Amino acid sequence: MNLTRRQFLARNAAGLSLVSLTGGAVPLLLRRASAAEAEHQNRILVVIELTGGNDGLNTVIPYEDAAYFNARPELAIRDESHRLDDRFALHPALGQLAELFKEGQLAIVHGVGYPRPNRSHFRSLEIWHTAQPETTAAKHGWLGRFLDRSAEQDLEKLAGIAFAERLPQSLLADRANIPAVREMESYGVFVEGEEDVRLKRRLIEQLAAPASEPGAENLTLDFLKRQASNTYVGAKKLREAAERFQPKGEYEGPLGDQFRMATQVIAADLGTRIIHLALDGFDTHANQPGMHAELLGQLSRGVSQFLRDIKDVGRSDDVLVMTYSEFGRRVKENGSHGTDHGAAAPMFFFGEKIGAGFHGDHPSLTELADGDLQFATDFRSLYATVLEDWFGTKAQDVLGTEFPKVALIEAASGKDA
Amino acid sequence: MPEPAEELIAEAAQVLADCNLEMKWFLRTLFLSNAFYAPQAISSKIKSPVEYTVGALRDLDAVVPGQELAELMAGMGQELFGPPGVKGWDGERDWMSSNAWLARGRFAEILSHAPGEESYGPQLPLESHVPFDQRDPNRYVDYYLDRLVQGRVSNAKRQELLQFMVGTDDGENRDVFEHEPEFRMYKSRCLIRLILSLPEYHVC
Repeated sequence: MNLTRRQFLARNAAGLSLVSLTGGAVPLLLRRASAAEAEHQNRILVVIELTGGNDGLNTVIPYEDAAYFNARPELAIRDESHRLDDRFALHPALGQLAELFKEGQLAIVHGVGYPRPNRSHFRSLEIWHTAQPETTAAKHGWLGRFLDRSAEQDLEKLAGIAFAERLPQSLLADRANIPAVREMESYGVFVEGEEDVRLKRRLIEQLAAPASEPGAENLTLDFLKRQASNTYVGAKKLREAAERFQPKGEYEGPLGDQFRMATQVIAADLGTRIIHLALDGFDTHANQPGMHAELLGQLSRGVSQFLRDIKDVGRSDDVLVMTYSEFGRRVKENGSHGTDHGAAAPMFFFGEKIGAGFHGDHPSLTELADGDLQFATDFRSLYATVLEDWFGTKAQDVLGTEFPKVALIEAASGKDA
Repeated sequence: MPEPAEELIAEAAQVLADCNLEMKWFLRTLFLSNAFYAPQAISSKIKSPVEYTVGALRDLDAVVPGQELAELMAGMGQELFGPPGVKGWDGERDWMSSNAWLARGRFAEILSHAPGEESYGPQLPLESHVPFDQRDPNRYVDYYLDRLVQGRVSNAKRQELLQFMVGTDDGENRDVFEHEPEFRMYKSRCLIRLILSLPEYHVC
C-alpha cells in the first residue's frame, strides 16, 4: 500500500533518482511528513466543478424570503418538497441530496465567494483554481501546490487525476504526476490498427526506460526517460483499475462516467488523493429551468450513487466530496427566462466525517453589491479547512496567507501539524 | 546547457571582455571550447512541440496539414500564437506532463500511418527513404537512426529495433523480411513510430 516514510527514504538513499528528477545538481530536500499528514495519507478529496456559474439561489432555495419571489417572478421555485429546514429547500431535482442532508452526510456552506468578484468565466475560474486573486501571473493550482508539497514524492504514483480533456489549472503542479484522462480503459500509448498493438506498446515503453547505471547520460535525457516511464506506469495502473473494478451502481451521462472512473480509481487503491470532476452547462442566461434541472439531476444521482459505491468498497471514511462553481448568478432574473453572472454561491460538502447541516450566513437578498449577493465566507477559508482539517497539512504553506477555517470537518489529530 | 556553472559564466564573460565584446571571436571561442561539446551540453534541451513536430516532418520529408498539426501541438501544450502569458512558454521540463508526452506519441502514430500521397491529410513518402528493394534490415535501422537521432542510441536499443524489424508472429524470420516488400514497408512505419517515441528524439 502506501510506503512508510522509512521505506521511501531507504529506497532513495543513493539520492541519485532525486538528482535526476530536478535536473539540477542539488538534491531535492525531502520534506518530512508531519504526524497529522501521515495519519491522513489515505484521505481523498473529490472535487466537482459546476462549470458556467451555478445559480445558487435556485439550488438552495430561500423559500421564506419574499425578496426571492419578488426578484424572480418567473424563475423562483415554489416547489418545497425538499425542505431542509424552516428557511431553505433544495431544488426539486436534488432529491437524493436532500436525503443525504437528512442522513447527516451533506454540509452546505452559504454565500461563498471572494472580494471584488470577477464575472468573467475565465478569470473567476482562474481565481478559484489558483486561490490567488491578487495576481494574474499565478501558474500552478492550489491542489497542484498541495500535491507538490506532499511528502510522498514517489512520482510513479498518480497523485491526482482529472477526468477531462485538459488538466484544470487547479491541478497544475510542478512535479507531481497528475494526468487528465478521458477514458480510463484506453488511456496510454496510442496505437492505431490491430496488428502488434501489444508488441508496439511494450517496445515503446521498454525503449524509454531510464539507463540502469545512473550518470550514464545527461540529466535532461534522464529526466525525460523518467517522466516517460512514469507516464507509462501510471497509464497501466489506470487501465488495470478500469478492468478490475466494475462498480455495482448505474452511472449515466458525462458526469456519471466521471463518477464511475472515480470509483474505479479509489477501489483500486492507487494512492491518488485528488480526483477532479466537472459538469459544464451551468451558464444559464436563457431558458434556465429545463437545463438547470437536468444538470442538478445528474449531480444528485451521480453523487449519491458514488457515495454508495464508495461505501461498498469500504472507503467511506476516507472520501470527502466538494462542489463549487466559479460564481453564482444575479438575484434578479433577466428577460430571457434565465439569469446572468453573479457572485457568491453555496458550496456542498459530502462525507462521513463532515459536520452536516448549514454553515455560514446566507447573504441578504436586499443588501446587494451591484445587484449581486455579497459573500460571507471567502472560498479560501474552505480550501484552508480542507487542507488542514482533512489532509492535516499547513494551509498557509499552500495558500500563502492564513484564512479562518470553517468548522466543517472533525479536525485532523496531530501533535505537530 | 541549462544552468551553467558560475565559473563557466565567469570564464565566458572574461573571454568576451578580452575580445572587446566582438561577437565573432567570442562565438568562435565558444564553438571550439570543450564546454560546448561536453556531455552535459549536447542534447540537453527538450524540444518544444513545434521543434518536435516540424522537426519530424523535415526529417522525414513528411507533411501534416496545418490545422491538424496545430491541434496536435495544442495537445502537447503549445497552442500556436496562444501562449499562457506575455512571457511565452516556460518550456523545457514544462513540456513533459503525462498528457503532453502521450500526445507526442499520438503524433508519431498518426505520422507513421500516413499514406505516401493524397490530396489532403498527413503524408509520409516512405519510398523516398530506403528503397524497398533493399533487403537488409540493418540498412533500414541505420538509415532511420542516423536520420532521426544521429545514431545516438545504445547498442542494446539498436539491437531491439533490429529484432523488431524481422519479428513475425512465429518469431524472428529474416526470410519474410527479405522476400516481402509489404512487410518491409509495414515494419518501416513501425520503426519510425518507435524512434519518434524514443526520449532521445525529444532532446536537442
